[in-house]
Formats: sequence, C-alpha cells, structure tokens
Amino acid sequence: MEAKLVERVQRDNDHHAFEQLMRQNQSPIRQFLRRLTLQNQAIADELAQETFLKAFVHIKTYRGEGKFLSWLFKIAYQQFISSRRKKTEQTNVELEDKADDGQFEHRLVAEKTAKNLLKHLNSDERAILLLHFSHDLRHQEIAIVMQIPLGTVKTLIRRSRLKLKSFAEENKSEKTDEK
Amino acid sequence: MKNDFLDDDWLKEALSDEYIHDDDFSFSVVKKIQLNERQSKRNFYTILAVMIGVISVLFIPDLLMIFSQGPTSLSLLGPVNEQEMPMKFMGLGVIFLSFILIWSFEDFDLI
Repeated sequence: MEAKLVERVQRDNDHHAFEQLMRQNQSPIRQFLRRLTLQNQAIADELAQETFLKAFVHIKTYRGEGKFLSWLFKIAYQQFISSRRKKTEQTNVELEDKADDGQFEHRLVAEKTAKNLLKHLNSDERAILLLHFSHDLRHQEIAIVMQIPLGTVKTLIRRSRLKLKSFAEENKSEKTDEK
Repeated sequence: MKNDFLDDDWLKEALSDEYIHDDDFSFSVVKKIQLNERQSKRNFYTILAVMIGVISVLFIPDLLMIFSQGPTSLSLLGPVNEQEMPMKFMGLGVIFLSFILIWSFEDFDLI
C-alpha cells in the first residue's frame, strides 16, 4: 500500500498520494522532533513541515531500500541538525549547554520519568534512544538515519541509557536528602 | 513493571508518546507544496517572458521592415529610420501579447 503511494508520487507528482503518506507517517516524525526539541512544539512542527516538503522534492531519490519511515527520520534528523547549526533553536541550545553543566541538575525539579530525564542527554543521545525504543528502529536503520557507524550506535545506546539511569538515581537521592 | 533503564520493555513503554491525530498538518504541507510549485513555475514564466521581450525589441521591428519593404530598407549603421517607430510599437504589442499568453498558461495550468 505504502509502496504504491510512493510510486504514484514518484511517477505522477501526485499530491493526494503524498498527503496520504503524510497522514500515515506524520505522528512518529512529529513525536520524534518534539522530543528532540525538548517539547518546543512550534519549532518541532515547523521542522516536521520542512521534513515533508524536502521529502516531496527528493522523493525520487528514495529507492525503496528500507522503510519509508526510516527515510523520513533521516531527513527529519538532518533538518534538526541543520536548524541547530543555524542557531534558530535558542531554547534547545541553552538547555543543552545547561545539561552539560553539572550544577543544572541541582536547579531542576527532580522528575523521575524517562521522558523528562531526556533533557539531560545531548541531542545525539536523545535521538538514538527515541529511534530505538520509541520508534522501533533497528541498529542498522539508526546507523543510516544518523549517518554513524553501527558500532557507534550500539555504544551510544548503552551509554545513553546508563546516563539516564544515573540521572534518575541522582534525582532520587536528592529527593531523599531533601526529606 | 520494574523501573529500570536497562530493561528494554520498560524503556520502550516509558519513551512512547501518544499518537498525534492532525489532518490539518498534512493539508497545510500540501498547500505549501502547491505554492512552491506555483512560485517555481512563475520564475520560469518570468524568464520566458523576458526572453521573448528582449528578442521582440531587438528583432521584430527589423523583421517587419524586411518583410514590408525588402532587405535594402534595413539600415544597420545609419540614423534611425522614422518608419521604425511604428514598428517599435508593434514590437511592444507583441511583448504585451506574449505576457498575456504566458500568464494564461499559468492560470489555466496549460503547461
């Protein structure tokens, strides 16, 4: 079904088919970008729109190798990286800078949920955990999306989840100390 | 389920988000695609119109003169022929018509 829609867009520039493809794939792309931008919905949705616009323009380069959604994730991640480079995402950059600062944790209200703890990770670590655990991408697919070696994917996943765990434990101990 | 960041199933559940239902999103992206296509077409039409305009100004008066009075009437180096003025107006007319033609292509999606 999806392959036929892609074919229609590639062959006839069919807007209706592309709209259907977007309906099927918009939710994971927007969720991913919202998490990457630390829930800045306006920026995330703008990036999602740019992702789909770019996907439409370059759809002929999609050869059907791998899932269409993985291809969209790759574009979305590139959009996020380039927007961060242009420093249009001030809030996110500020938060990331603070996340690297050890004192930031003391100022944060300790929240134990995994989603809130994502703020403490850098964007690569956030992206890799989200792609693997939230969107079920395999290691090989993540390597293609993020354009990094397979070994790095495995290392980053392990490191990120250990980091999350240590942040959760720190928050827990801080709460206990406060009592 | 145990709260453990090293447990795959727990982490999957902890990081999952609610499905986003939003038909307006895809609709607005399609509108942007259509707008982009229209703008890129407009650039093409503008370049085409400019090219036709330049060719018309440069050659149409001379061509008309050649057809109406023969090749000897064309003076390449001499002063401007008085009869050339109506030809210039005809050239401008052709430019105007070419613009109308090109914009009608766009409005009726003929290309």
